[in-house]
Amino acid sequence: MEILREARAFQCYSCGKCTAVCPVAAVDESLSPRRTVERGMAGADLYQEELVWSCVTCKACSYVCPEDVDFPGFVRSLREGMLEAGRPPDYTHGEIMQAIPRLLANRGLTPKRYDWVDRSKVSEDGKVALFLGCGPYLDTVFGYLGGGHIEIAKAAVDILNRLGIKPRILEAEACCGHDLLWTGETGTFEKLRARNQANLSSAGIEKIVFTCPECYATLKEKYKLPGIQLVHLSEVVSAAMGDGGTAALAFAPIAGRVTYQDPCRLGRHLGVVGPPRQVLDAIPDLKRAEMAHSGGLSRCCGISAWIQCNATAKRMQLERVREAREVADTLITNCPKCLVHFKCVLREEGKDVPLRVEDWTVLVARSLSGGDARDGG
Amino acid sequence: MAVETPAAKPEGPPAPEEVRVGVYVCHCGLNIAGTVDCPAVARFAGTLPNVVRAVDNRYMCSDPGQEMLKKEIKEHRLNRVVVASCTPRLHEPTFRSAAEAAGLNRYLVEMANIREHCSWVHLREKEDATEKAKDLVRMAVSRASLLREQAEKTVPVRRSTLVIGGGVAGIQAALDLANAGYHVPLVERQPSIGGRMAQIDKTFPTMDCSICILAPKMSEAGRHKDIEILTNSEVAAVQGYVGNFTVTVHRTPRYVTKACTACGDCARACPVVAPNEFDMGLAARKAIYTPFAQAVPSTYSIDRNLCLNKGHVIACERCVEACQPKCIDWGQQPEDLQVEVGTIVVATGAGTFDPARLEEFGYRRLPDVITTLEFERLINAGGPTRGHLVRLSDHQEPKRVAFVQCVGSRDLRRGNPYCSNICCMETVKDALLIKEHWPDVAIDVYYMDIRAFGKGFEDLYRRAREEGVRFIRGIPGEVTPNGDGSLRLVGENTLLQERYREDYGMVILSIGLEPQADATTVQRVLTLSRSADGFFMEAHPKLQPVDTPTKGIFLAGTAESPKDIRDSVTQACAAASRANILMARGEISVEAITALVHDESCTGCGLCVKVCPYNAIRMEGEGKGRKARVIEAACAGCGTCGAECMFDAIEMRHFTDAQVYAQIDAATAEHADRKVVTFACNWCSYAGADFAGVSRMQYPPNIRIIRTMCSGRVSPRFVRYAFSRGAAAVLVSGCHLKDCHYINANSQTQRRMERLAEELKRKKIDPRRLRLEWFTAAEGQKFANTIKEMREVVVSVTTDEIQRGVAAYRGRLDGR
Repeated sequence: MEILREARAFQCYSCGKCTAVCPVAAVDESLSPRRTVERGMAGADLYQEELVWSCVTCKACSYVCPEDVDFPGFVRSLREGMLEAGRPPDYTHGEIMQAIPRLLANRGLTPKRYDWVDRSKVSEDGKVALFLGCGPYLDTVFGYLGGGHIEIAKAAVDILNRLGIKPRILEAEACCGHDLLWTGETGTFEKLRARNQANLSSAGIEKIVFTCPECYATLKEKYKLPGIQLVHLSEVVSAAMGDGGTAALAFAPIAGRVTYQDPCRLGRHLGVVGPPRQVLDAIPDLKRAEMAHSGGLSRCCGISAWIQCNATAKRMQLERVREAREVADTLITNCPKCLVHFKCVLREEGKDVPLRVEDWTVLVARSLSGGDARDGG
Repeated sequence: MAVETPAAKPEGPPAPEEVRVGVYVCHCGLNIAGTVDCPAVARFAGTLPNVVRAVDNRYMCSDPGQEMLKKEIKEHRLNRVVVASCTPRLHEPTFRSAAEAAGLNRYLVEMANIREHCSWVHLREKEDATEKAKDLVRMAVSRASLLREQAEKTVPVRRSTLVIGGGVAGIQAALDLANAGYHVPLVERQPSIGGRMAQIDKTFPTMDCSICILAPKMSEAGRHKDIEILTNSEVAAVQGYVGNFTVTVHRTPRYVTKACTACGDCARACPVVAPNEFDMGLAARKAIYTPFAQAVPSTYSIDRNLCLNKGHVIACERCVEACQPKCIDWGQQPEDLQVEVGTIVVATGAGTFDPARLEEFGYRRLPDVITTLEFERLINAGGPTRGHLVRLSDHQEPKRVAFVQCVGSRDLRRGNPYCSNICCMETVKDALLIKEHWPDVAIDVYYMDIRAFGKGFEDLYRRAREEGVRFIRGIPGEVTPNGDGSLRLVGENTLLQERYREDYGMVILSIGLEPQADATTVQRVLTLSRSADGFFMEAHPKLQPVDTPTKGIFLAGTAESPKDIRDSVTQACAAASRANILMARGEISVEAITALVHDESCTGCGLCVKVCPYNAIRMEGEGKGRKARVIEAACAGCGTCGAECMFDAIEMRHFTDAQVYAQIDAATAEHADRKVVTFACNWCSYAGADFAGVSRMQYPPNIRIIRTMCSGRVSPRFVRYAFSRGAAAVLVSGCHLKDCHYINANSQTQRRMERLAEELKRKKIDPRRLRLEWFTAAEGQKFANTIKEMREVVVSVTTDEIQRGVAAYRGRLDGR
């Protein structure tokens, strides 16, 4: 009952718009956010609802909901009860992506994951930090996809250097806890949050720059970090462009037909839709088109929090890469998970879709360091 | 001409031996007596100073009760009456009339609210409720002892009404008033009157041709000897006050004289083509044009923004050459007309929601997605396609048409939160219109709810279903183009619990209404209030639906809220009637709660002028003789000036400082450390507290409410005084910032309380002891919750803390 009330579920008009835009309902017609809410209000046992785990929490429903019902929040609260009721999700990849943050929370370990960092490019005591997130783990776990996550981190450092910033890389940084938060392990998440809040607040930093939208959203919406400004790398770059700092930001041409995938957390959860596009549009020779579903109506990459990788998820991913192919040769992702998921589907189910995937940060860094000319392209 | 109050000598309160108070404690059946020990309260009242009679009675408001009151007043020579019963918002007029009938001035009656604010909200705390009732009576008696007789002033009223807006509401109001004998200038910013009703094709539920029923009214207004139609005109400024408004009307010239026969030769010759606003941009007009065939006045008009001639440079004269009556006159100038009226009717209409804001529907991206208003023009025989329903993309007739409801309405996040009233019936009507001409066209209506609430509406809805129009419950999530030029709608059929994918030739978005884009300007010029939805606010949603809080100004039509033609006309007739009441006798009386400046204390600082929402105070005189003067007819009695004046030079009649201090004294006479002195404004927060009572919401009995007309009356001095008396806490409450009954007086409250909060911080007084909270008259639950939170403060405040407050403000009656 409380969960329903907090999510404003009682205000639901039952208009059906949520189901109409839900990417999961689009491929699995037995699922419907609206029906789940209605059944909940009618007193059904919501812990039997499949949608509780199948929801990808992308907030497409919230975007169109006329009564501002918080369906993802609703689902998140229910997931705590699902675990207590002994109905866990289908964890993927041997549950490793949950094991890591659990270890970080419960064992207070400090992993050595920064060996690749070029110490000359970062600072030990600056006021601007770069939050790295899971990058190093993703390269290991998803090595078969060709990595690319440490590359994102390096590219981010490079871009910041060009803007005159030597970011801090915090050894004590622990996982932001997003995946635990969204799979019902709220207690463990709170431990991670406490640890991060303590370390970040006492590190003397004033600004944290993110490449990962999920870390960004988690810290912005769930953490208390007084006096610290949180910002995405695309916002930093686009602001620098606006300041007339184009001398420092000389974008070299990169030829290509691209389209931009709005990450759920960056686009709909946080409203950062313009800056990544503004930066892409500043790169000469780069032709950018929008997919049929973009901006507020953008479609999710199919999986959230490393659970429920199944036929439904694969179909969502397949439809999305096909949508991208209609308008571009390269899909630009701006989230480490989107990168993994699209590369994965293109290897198997989407083998016949001639689409490349590249990360936004890596592309922008490429352009700033010579672009096609440098790569001999 | 200003009507002033002569400078008054300060008159002190009447000498104590002259005051004879009668206290009447009502049982209200068991409503009060079931919780409060009324006989005990009456006995207690008998012990208070100045009280010569204290009696309890079962039903004071009944005829026997009122007769008893009249008898008591005469028999016991009472010169003040306190009725402890329900809320004054209900029966103050009743008891005032009874007192008047017994020969007592109506302003000598005070009420103690021991029902809505006491017995109904402390149902299970009978002892505390009784103690609270005693306190409330003590407060009422203290105030009553200081009440003075008041005489209501009369102000002359001009017998003419300005109607702003020439749509059906404005036209109706103008006709009613002109037929009653008043002079009516009617200002309309378009070149013709007619408004939205002229644009639509048929009206629901009668399926009358809209312009056919409107045109006769337009003609009548155009011909009427007492209506002065001022088209191409806007109201630029309004000075004055009820009965005596001076309005500046800015007129843009048409450059065509009245000799125009509307033959149209000029338009045929004109080389400039532009989209015609009347046809929603779907048809063209020329730079010289008449917006539609039945325009009143029929005189053509030149749109100088489009005309090739700029300023005094006349390069193209094709219209002049073509015009046989030679009625084009480049010499016409814009002019500012001064119009003097007694009352004003605001009928400025509404705008429409722009569905491009909801990108999923593809409006403007996809040409075959149109709005219901565009549909009206298409289906109209005088419209761009001569009444043929064709797709804008390829001019083919669509075989399947979809309507999408609630576009931009009932949407908290990306649209307007309210329901736009007309869209359901608009669509039902449109569907029937299509079926009438093209019975084979399949029509689906996608909806959340169908609201067919009015007379004849359900019948029309039934007819539509009988004709085979399908109603599908489930708003589409998107409209996407198919390769063959058709449009696909995808969504959930919520009744079948199935996803739908349907293709149509045309999608019609049923858009909602919203306030006009320039509503803020109109609001400022006329000093109106706007409700949360952005439409102009009425004085009371149930009992004064066409009055505005500003005396003399009335509302009609969609300017007040979305509604159909019938309701617009009804409101127009109502507004005309209300204006008539004001003007019929040639004079009106002003409630005696206005501000009075005491010249000998006034230093001429002018701060009062700055905070008056009605511009009702003016500075006059020079140097030492510079004094504030109140224009009594414009004064609404909010009290903001009184609270602002630092020199005690402004007396608020019937709500004086002395009376407020007396009430605070009475409230804090005993156990002040358990009490929250609460200020509530008559219109919203006091009403919100009443609503909590009516709904029987229970809350702790710690508060003692002092009613003021506006929260702007609450001076920081009152708050300091309450602390100096040892009150645990003070709650200042009023209307929400956009909803102030006195336009924006509560913004002064906010400013003052914020400064006071800073002062408390400096004096190390617990900041929780002063709370500022806004309530609507409907937020009874919020009121109750706030009191519960305040109780936590009361319980946790220490004796030391109380003493700190006392020490900080002790002995400073004026709090300076």
